[in-house]
Amino acid sequence: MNSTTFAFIDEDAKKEIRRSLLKAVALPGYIVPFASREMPVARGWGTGGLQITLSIILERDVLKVIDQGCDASVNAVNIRDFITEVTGVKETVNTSEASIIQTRHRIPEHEFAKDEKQILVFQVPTPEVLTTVEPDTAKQKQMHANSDYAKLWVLLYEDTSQYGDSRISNRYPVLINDHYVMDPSPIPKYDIPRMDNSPVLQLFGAGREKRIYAIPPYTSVKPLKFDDREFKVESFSGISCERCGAQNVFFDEVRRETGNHYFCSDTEYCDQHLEKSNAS
Amino acid sequence: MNTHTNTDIEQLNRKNFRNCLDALSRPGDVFQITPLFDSSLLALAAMLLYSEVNFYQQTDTNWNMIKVLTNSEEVAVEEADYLFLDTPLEHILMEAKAGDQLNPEFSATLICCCEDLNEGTQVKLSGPGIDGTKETILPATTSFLQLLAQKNKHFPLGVDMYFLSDTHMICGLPRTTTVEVL
Repeated sequence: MNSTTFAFIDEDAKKEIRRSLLKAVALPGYIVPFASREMPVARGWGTGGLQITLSIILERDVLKVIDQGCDASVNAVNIRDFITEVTGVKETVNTSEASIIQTRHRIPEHEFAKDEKQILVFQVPTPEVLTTVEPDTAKQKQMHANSDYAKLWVLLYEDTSQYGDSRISNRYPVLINDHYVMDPSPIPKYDIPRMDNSPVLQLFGAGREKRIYAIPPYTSVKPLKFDDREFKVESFSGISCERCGAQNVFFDEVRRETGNHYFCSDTEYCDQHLEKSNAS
Repeated sequence: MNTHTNTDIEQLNRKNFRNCLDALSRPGDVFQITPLFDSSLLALAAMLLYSEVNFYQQTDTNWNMIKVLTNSEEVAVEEADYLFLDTPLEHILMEAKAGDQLNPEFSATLICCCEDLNEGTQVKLSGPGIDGTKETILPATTSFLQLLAQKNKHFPLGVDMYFLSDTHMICGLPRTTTVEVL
């Protein structure tokens, strides 16, 4: 018998998470409850994503961890260090090189390759999309069972009638495979169309809320919107990154006395773009 | 039976789980399973079963070691979370639990053995996990596949399936996959 357990979690806990993952893949967008374990980081700091990654990871995997697009933020560095220490897997910041990408609130800018079988693991704070309109969890479950999303539509209607568009800036509700409405985690609206028909397997873990859900590759992901309204993502028209000069990507806005400054949210994309710009 | 006392079962489980996850995420694609006790069916059982889930089996295999290893209970068809079968059986498929609207995850997963994944019925698959459509062969009869379509007609109710070949290859078929017999 080995003296230490590979990937920190005990085998029975992994089996519980794996059971939930397989059910989640078979039921795209459906929230599967699971017995979330204590992790060596506080709940709400990525324990759901961490438990998923530790349950699926193999010795041959290459791991990338990002936090809001950044490979070097405290949350990303600590999670990456922990996973590599308990598994010995290779780490990378290169999206195309990674087989598992754990992310908090962003999807990397690079296009995912079709045949690489990459897995994107999202850290999710609030998995239930109906929380904003219905606080009772039993009623939420009933509403999902009945595909009753009327309250979300009313919220969307109220926003549209008063403000011309939805006020939801992140966690925008999405319809998965024309059945369940799901919380895509607090990614910006910019990333929502990039979830649709994606070649990667997208897994979502909420450790504090004890929930797992998934979007298989090549699955329809549609934002909730009225037929006569366009789904508008964040606009960065005419803006380029102050560091690398990139355009048409998602930017971080930094406010200083000198005015607003914009930088690529995806730091790996920014580094690569800067390298290409310097080379040419 | 070769008991492989030096086998690292946890390592085997994580390798086999990843291939099962890939198989269910990409219906129609084929992945390798590493056998346990010379059986890929028992390898899947060791990976899937634990004390919180139960199973039914209709096979020629000895399950004593799996019961000891996993502490999982053997139950009747209609109660089982996982059903391990030597061959796709229509009456078992019909009796397997399909979950309910509130808890569709309380449904069964069938693991059916076959000789060869390339011998069976020519089909066209579509649905989540498939880029457009995919033509392939499923190792089951037309009537079995028609019953499966009937069972999975009212999503999210239904069963998920794996076909497992004698050559230790696996192919997944979640309830979301539409199977058109060609």
